[in-house]
Amino acid sequence: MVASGLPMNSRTSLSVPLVVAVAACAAASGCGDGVHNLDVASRPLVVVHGHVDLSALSTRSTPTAPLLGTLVWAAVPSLSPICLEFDDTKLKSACPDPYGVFQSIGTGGIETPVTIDGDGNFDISLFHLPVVRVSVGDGVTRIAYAALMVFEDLNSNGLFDFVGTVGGGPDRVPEGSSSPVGTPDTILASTFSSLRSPQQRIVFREGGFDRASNFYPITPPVSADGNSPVKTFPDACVPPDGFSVLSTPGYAASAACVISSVEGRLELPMLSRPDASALMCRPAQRDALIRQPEEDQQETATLCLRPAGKPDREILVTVFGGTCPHLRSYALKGCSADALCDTPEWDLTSSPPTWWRTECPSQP
Amino acid sequence: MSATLLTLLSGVAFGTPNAVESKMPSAVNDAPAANDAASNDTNLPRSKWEVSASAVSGRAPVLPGLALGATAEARRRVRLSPFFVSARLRGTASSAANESWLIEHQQFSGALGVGADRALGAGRIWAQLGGGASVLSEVLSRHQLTRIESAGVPGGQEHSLSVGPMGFLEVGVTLQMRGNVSAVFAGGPTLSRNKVDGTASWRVGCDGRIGVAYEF
Repeated sequence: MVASGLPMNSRTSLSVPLVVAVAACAAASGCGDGVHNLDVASRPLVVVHGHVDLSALSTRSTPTAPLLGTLVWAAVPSLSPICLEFDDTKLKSACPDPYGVFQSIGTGGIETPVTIDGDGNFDISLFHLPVVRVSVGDGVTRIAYAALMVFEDLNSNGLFDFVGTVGGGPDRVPEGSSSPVGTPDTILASTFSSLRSPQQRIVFREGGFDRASNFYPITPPVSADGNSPVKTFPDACVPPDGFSVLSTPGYAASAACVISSVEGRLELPMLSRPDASALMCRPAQRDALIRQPEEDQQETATLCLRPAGKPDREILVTVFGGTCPHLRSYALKGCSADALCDTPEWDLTSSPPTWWRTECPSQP
Repeated sequence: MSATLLTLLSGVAFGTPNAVESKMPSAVNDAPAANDAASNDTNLPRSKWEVSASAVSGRAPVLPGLALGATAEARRRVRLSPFFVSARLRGTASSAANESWLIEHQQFSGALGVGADRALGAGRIWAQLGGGASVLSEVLSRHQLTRIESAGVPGGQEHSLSVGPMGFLEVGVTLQMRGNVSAVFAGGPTLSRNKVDGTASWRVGCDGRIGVAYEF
């Protein structure tokens, strides 16, 4: 090697191995497992596998509708206190089962539905952790439960259209959808629909775990003597960190649990029509607060309730029918969370709205 | 490109060939005397070695946007000619994000180069051409990584690597600041080959650096 006509310095020979190394690298041009640019696609964080017995679906309401599977996160049950405080037959149709699973509607509550293959299998890919709004707890102890569901996509829009509004119409109808208002899709099977029935919950746990939690407890929250609180999650029912599947036979004083990974395929039990309808309608129970009557309102009430021992606590209830019956309630004196609260937030007993006596005449 | 480069290098080295050659020492043993002479003539090199450290910024090797980093370089003059050989190490970092991932790239490269310079006032202008290898290390992190890891969910982060050749052409200016310390300003095109999304491809970039050099 000669540079500028000068003889090669012996030290310059040191560069030869480096040149060889460079040449070797050039020969192996672009080796390694490779990197990615901004177009790199997402990959599932976890995949949940489901299976439904297609032969058991012979009683489908609309056999021509696409059959889809999805994962629905459970919400905190939303129940009007009226349903718990009064035992009136007219109310029952509009009061959801408090032991049922309430679907979490809104962003992140329902994962993207997928088609079910010819063997009845489907896989739900989760590309992110569940949104915080579907988990319950404090800053360091949170838990979320979900159910795998199979439904008939009646309008073939690829989405799970459910009844989620007070008015009974679909809460989510995509632009251009031909879905008639008030016609939700039909749920056929679910791994978790009620605390009282055998269930397989998909669980996501972050941080600690409160064994006395009343968020979809495994056992009743009161002890045998009816007084002291008990842990609602027996030892075997405490889920590990991250994703898992919690299987239990149902709400009982001493329930057994099996915790497994999400790698196995979950079998979805079929739901009866009433159970499926009730599951579909539970998100509709949003109007769970007691309202204060206003003068410029005119409510056509279904019921005028007067609790025993509290004659001044008049409550008007309007029951709405339709696909998912629900109710709306007003208290002349009470609180938004409890019509019979000890310290009322409002008291209109001395000057009720003019229309109030029309619906709830004074007692003689 | 090589013809252009040769012309460029020749232009820098032999801008005034007669004047330079007439003052070049005739033998290696004349080097000390030549150095003495050089101290009185800015057209001649003064030292055998030069080391420099620079902050560098340029087009990221794969991602859109800029990469930032540092370069360390050592040069050795070939005798007392205008030519020099160099060795450099460079590390840069770049990052970007899409809906699913935070993408962090760290590129480390080692290269050898040859170049030539010419004194100009209180400094020198120079050009060099080099090549070597680069290692591009990638870390793909999901959004909410801390939450994912604290929940014990695997797959929150992925690592990968691409090794490939790289080359550079650089034109620069060295300005004497104080004693043997100079300021360095340089920039030029780069060429690197990496396996991106499973396909190896060349990518042309450019970068610039600013730093300090020490001659001895």
